[in-house]
Amino acid sequence: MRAERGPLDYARRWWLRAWLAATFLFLYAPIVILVVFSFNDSRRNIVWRGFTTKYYLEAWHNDSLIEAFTNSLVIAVASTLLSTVLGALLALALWRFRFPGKAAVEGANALPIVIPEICMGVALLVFFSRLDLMGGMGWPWSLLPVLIGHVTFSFPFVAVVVRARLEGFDRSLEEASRDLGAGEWQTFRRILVPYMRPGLVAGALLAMTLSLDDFVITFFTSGPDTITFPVKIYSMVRFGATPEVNAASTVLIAVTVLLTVIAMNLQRRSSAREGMLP
Amino acid sequence: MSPRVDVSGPPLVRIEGVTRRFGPVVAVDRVSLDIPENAFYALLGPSGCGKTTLLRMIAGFEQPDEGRILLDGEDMTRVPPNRRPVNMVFQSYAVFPHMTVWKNVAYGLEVTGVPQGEIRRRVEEALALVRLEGMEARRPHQLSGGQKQRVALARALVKRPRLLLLDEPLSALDRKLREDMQMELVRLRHEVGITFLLVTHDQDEALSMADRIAVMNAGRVLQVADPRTLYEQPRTRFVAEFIGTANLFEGRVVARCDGTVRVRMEDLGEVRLPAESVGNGTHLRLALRPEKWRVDPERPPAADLAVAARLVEMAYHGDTSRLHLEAGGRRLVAVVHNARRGGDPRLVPGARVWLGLAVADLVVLED
Ligand SMILES: Nc1ncnc2c1ncn2[C@@H]1O[C@H](COP(=O)(O)OP(=O)(O)OP(=O)(O)O)[C@@H](O)[C@H]1O
Ligand SMILES: [Mg+2]
Repeated sequence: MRAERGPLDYARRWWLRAWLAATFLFLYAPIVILVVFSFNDSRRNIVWRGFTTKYYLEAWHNDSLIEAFTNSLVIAVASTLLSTVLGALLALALWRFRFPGKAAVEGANALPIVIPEICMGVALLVFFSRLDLMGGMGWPWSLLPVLIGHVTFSFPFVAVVVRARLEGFDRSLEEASRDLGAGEWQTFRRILVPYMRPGLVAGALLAMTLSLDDFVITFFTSGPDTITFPVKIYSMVRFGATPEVNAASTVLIAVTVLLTVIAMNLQRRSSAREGMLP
Repeated sequence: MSPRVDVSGPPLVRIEGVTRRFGPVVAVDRVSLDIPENAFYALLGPSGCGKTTLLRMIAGFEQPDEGRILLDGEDMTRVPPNRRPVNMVFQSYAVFPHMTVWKNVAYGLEVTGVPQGEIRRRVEEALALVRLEGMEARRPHQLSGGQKQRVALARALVKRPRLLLLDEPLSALDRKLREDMQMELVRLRHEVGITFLLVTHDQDEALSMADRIAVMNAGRVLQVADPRTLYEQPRTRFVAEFIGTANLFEGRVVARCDGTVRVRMEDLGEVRLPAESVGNGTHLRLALRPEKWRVDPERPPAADLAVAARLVEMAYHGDTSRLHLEAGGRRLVAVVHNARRGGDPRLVPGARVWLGLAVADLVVLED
C-alpha cells in the first residue's frame, strides 16, 4: 500500500525534478553565462580568465553604443507613454460604448498583435518612405518613424490588458459617484482611473519591454543614421560576440528586471488595498 | 406610523403618469404617485415589477419615456443625477473599494467643494449616526456586509438629501442583522428627518417600517395605503394575496333587504353584508385573513357563519400555527396563536373542527 500523494508531493518524483531542472537550464543558462562572461577578463568569450569590469568601461566609452542606448531609451519612454494613453482610451471606448462597427474595431485592434513583425516592418518602411519621413531630419525627429512603429504594435497590447481589467468594474460604483454629486470627469478621475491603475501599470510595462528589445520593426523603420540598441548589438555581434556586447546586454537586462520589480510592487500594493490579495 | 407625516401639504415628490419601456417590456406603466414630505414610503412588489426602474428614474439614471417627475414642485426630468437633491443606497452597496471608510463618506462633499472643516464635522456626525466611529481608516474589504451597508447609508446621509432612496438595502443581510437594520433605519429617519423611499419585495419589511406603501405589479401601482389599511382592506386580489395570506371566496348576491345584501358563498353558506350598491345576482369576490377564523372543536354559537372543516395539515411556527383545512371540498387556511404552551391538544391532523367568522372581517375585493 502506498500513501496518498498531496498535490505538491508530485514534485518529489525524480523525473519531474529532472524535467524542471532541464527547463530552467535551457531558459536561464544562456542568460547566466552572458552575465558571467561580461566580467571575464578575456577578449575571447570561451574560457574564464579572471574577474574584470573593464568591458563595462569600454562599452561606456563606445560612443555609438551609448548613442544607440540613448535612442532606445528615448523611444521606449515615449512609446510607453503614447501606447498607454492610446491603449487605455481604446479600451475605455470599447468597454463603455456601443457603436456601429464595434466588432470591426475590436478585430482591427487585434491585428497588430497577430500580423508577422516582418510584414509590419516592410509595410511601415514603404509607408514612411512615401511620406518622406525616412532620413533627412535631425535628432530627435529622426526617431519619429521608429517611435510610430513601436506605438503601432504596442498599444493594442495595452488595450487588451486594460480592457480585461475594466471587465471587472462594477458599474454601480460609477452611478454611486454621480449620485453623490460628482460630474462625469470627476467620476472618471476619482473612481475609474484608480480602478484601472493596475491594468495601466501592467500595460505600460508590456509596452516598455516590447519597445526596448524590438529588432525587426526597428530595423526596417530606422533611417540610415538612426540606430537603436538591439540593432547596434546585432551589428557588433556580426564581428563576433565580444565581452563588451555582454556587458551592454547585462545593463539592459538589469534595467528591465528593475522596471518589472517596481511595477510588480505597485501592482501588489494596489491589489492589497482592494483586498484582492491577502 | 409617524405623526409628523403631513399628507395634506404639497408632496415632496410627485410622479405624474410615468412610463418606461425597455424594448417590448413596459417596466413602469403610467405610474402616478405622491410622496409626502417626511414619509417613510415603501414601494412593494414582486421581482421584476419595475421598482428599481422607478427608483432609478427618481435618481436620474433612467429617463421616463412619458410623464414627469417633480421634486418640490420642480420638474426633475432633465436634471442629471449629480444635480438632484436625492441620494441612493444601492442594493450592492457600491462602496468605493479603493477608499477608506472616511474617504467614502467624505467623497460626496469633496466633489462638490464643501470646505475641509465642514467636511470633517459632517463626516464625523454621519459616522456617529450609523455607529461606525473608530472604523474611519478601514477599507471596504475589511468590513462585514452590515458595516458596508452603514457606510453606504452614511455616505448618502452626509449629503443631507431631500429624499433618500433605498433599493432593497437589506436583502443581502442575514435575518437577524436585517431585523436590527430595520429598526436602525426607522431610528435614523426619526433622527435626521429625511424622507425615505424604500424599495422592497419583502412584505414584512414594508409593513413594519413604512408609514405608506405603494404596491406594484407588472409596472403598475395597484394600491397606496398605510400598512394597516393595506392588510385589513386590500382592494384587489393581487394585494390580498401578495401581502399576507388570504382565503378567497366567490359569492353571489341572492337577496337584498333594507340596507343589507345576502351573499351566498360557494359551498360554505350565506352571510349578510352591510349595504352595497349591488344588484341581485352580482358576483363578488371576498377575502378573509387566516387569523380571523375562530377555530373551535365545538360549533361557535356567536359566529356570523360557521363552517365544519377537517384539519388536513398543521405547520408549527413557534408563536403561531398555520392550519390547512378542508371544508365543502375546498382548502382553507387558518392561523391560531399558540398562547398556551403546547397549543391546543385537540388540534391534530384529521380532527373535525368548526371555523367561525365575523362578517365585519370579510373584505369585498374589486376584482
Ligand atoms: N436596462 C434594462 N434593459 C432591458 N430591460 C430591463 C432593464 N432594466 C429593467 N428591465 C426590465 O424591466 C422590468 C422591471 O425591472 P426592475 O429592475 O425595475 O424590477 P424590480 O421590481 O426592481 O425587480 P427586483 O425585485 O427583482 O429587483 C423587468 O422585466 C426587467 O427585465
Ligand atoms: Mg430591483
